[in-house]
Amino acid sequence: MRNRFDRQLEELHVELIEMGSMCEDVIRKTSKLLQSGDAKVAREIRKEDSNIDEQERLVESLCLKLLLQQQPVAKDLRKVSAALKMITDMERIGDQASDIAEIIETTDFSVPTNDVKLAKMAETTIAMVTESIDAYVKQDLELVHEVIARDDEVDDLFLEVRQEIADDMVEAGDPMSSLDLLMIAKYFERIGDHATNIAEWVEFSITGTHKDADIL
Amino acid sequence: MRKRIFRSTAILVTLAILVTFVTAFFFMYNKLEENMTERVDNEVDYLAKAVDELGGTSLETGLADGVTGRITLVDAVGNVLYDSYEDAAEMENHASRPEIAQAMKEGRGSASRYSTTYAKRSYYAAVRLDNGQILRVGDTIDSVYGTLFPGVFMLLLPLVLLLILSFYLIDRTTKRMMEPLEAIDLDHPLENVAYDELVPFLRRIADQNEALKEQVQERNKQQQEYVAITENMKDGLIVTNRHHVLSINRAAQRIFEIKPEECMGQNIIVVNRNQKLKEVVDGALAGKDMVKHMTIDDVTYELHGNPVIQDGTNTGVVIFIMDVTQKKQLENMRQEFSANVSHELKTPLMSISGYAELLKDGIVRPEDQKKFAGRIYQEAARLTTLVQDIIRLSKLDDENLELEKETIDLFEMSKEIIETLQPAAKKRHISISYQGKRLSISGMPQIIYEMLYNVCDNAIHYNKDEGTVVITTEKTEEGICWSVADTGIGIPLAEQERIFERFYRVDKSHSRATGGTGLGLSIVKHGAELHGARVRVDSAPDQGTTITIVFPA
Repeated sequence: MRNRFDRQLEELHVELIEMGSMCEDVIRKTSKLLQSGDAKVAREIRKEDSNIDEQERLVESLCLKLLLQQQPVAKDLRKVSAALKMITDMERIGDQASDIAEIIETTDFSVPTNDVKLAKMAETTIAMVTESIDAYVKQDLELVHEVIARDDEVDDLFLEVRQEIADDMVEAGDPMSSLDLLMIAKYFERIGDHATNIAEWVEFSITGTHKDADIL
Repeated sequence: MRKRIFRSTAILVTLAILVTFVTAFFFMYNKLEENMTERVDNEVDYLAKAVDELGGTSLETGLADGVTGRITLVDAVGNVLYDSYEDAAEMENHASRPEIAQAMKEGRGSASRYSTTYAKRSYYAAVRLDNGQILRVGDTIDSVYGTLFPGVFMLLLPLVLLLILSFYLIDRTTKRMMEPLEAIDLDHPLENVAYDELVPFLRRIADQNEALKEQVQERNKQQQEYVAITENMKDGLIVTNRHHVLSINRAAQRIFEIKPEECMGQNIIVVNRNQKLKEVVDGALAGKDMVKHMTIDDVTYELHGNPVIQDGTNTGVVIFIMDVTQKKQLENMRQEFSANVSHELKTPLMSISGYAELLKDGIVRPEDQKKFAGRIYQEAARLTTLVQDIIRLSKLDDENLELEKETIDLFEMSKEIIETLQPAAKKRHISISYQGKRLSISGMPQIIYEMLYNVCDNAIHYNKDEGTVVITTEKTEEGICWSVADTGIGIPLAEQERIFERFYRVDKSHSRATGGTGLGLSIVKHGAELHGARVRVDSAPDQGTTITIVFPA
């Protein structure tokens, strides 16, 4: 019976990493789309998003099965409950990537390729998602703290990008595309938040402490 | 083993004591009973004689004092006249007692009775006196069991003592027996034989020890060889058991930035969650030989996954990871080269054949014929230059190229080049100047000239109108530097590495507005290599470019 339990736990671990890898992939593609505006990439992103949704259901049912059949305790229980929370954030990352793709696809505006700050934002959020998944894979608390610290970086970048867009709006007088750009920046900022959430749940699964509060 | 010895000894000791006791007891008890009956018989005979002589009343006056048993006197019909234990008047008629009845009839009787309530055994003997009265003497002893049970309890103490003693003795003996056995050094079993009976056994152990040592040595050697090979190879190697990592060599650890303790025995997805790696493992587990490319941080790796087949079943995967970035780049370069060379050769040819066709068909007006022929001549000249450049390059490629080295004055050569290029520069109002000392190097004049000419030519070609070109020579720690600085369009940083590739042009349109074959800097690079010199580019878009050739001093 325990053997079966261990097997199920490992399966959960693997599927969760897989889902994380899908998220990394999808936002990497989003950043590529931002530069190229290629409609094919946009379609790929939307397909990947639905794959992520499917993966979420799979991991969810694995978690529930584990809770129901094995009644895990202590660290194992933390693992399973953290997984349940993490997949919600991962799924949201997929949604947000898909939203960005939709904006780029439906409105025919081109993101100014020389927008260094937005590109930097995309790059930072990709790194955050990658690191949060890495932290989970390696069960590394140090990485967790790095990710959480990086969220401020993204927030600052968002404020800068917003300022730039506001200036552009006044100068160029093309409010629609400026607004779209703002939305994209906001989505990236949200992805950064979700990566932070994932990192926090990784911390919980290791230490039992979530945002400096013992909840289990 | 010791426990078993203890147990059987305990049983043996207890049984021995019990059997001895019981046998002895019954023997003793029989003797006791015999003694009692004999005594009672004697007493009754003796008393009967005394009562016959002295009369019945003598019993009450002290005759019975010396007798231990119970004395009863009954008359001829059984009424009790005297009893030494109880009041005779209250006693019932004794005629029915078997010993008295027998004595009345035969003159003498005896009986033995057993009382279960008191666990006592009584013996009575009766004799008929001369006057017809009956005299009876009785005595009582404890019955067999009544005697036995208190005895058994008395037995417990010696039993326990004996058991303790025997355990102690056994303990000592077995210890003494085991000591030499335990002291046997199993690594050298034949050197200290405790009991001769053990020799065959020990010999066998010695043989096995020997065989084992050889096997371990063999295995260690193999292991060391394996580790030496896998740890020192440049390519990554991962061995898995189904999906779990069994071993990961140093190169693979470096590639995937993972420590062995983080992934040993874990699922392969922990090593890297790239989809390609998963596909390779899954494919190999399905029995296929897999090859995939995967990119991590701009480095391209080729993954080879092969199934490990043991006894017909697929038990794992061997994954081989090779860095193929350079190979990939070279491949791209080759592809680009062939695309470029065909493009460069084709364009002038198309012009030539186009103009020639017009001339052949006689469509061209006579006054234009000269212009057309001029175009054909120009394009042919272009082709010639191109082919010459290619030939030069392939000559430079030839490693065996050995031209005679001479001392070259860089100042003289630069001046010569400036004079040659002056007309072209004047057309665009570009000024060329020279600064620095007269410095000489040793080299092959034709090739050096070609190199310097190409660099200067580029400085004019890619300059802006009314720009400047400055040629400088100086001696530094690195060696003798010859550099050309222009004020032209510059080269973006990302392109700077590629400009030395054959036919590579920053301006992808292959526009011939500036002319050139796209081979100039290739020639510079190869020429520099031949002379052991280095070429440095320092440029920023719209700021101008400085190209420096550093000759070894």
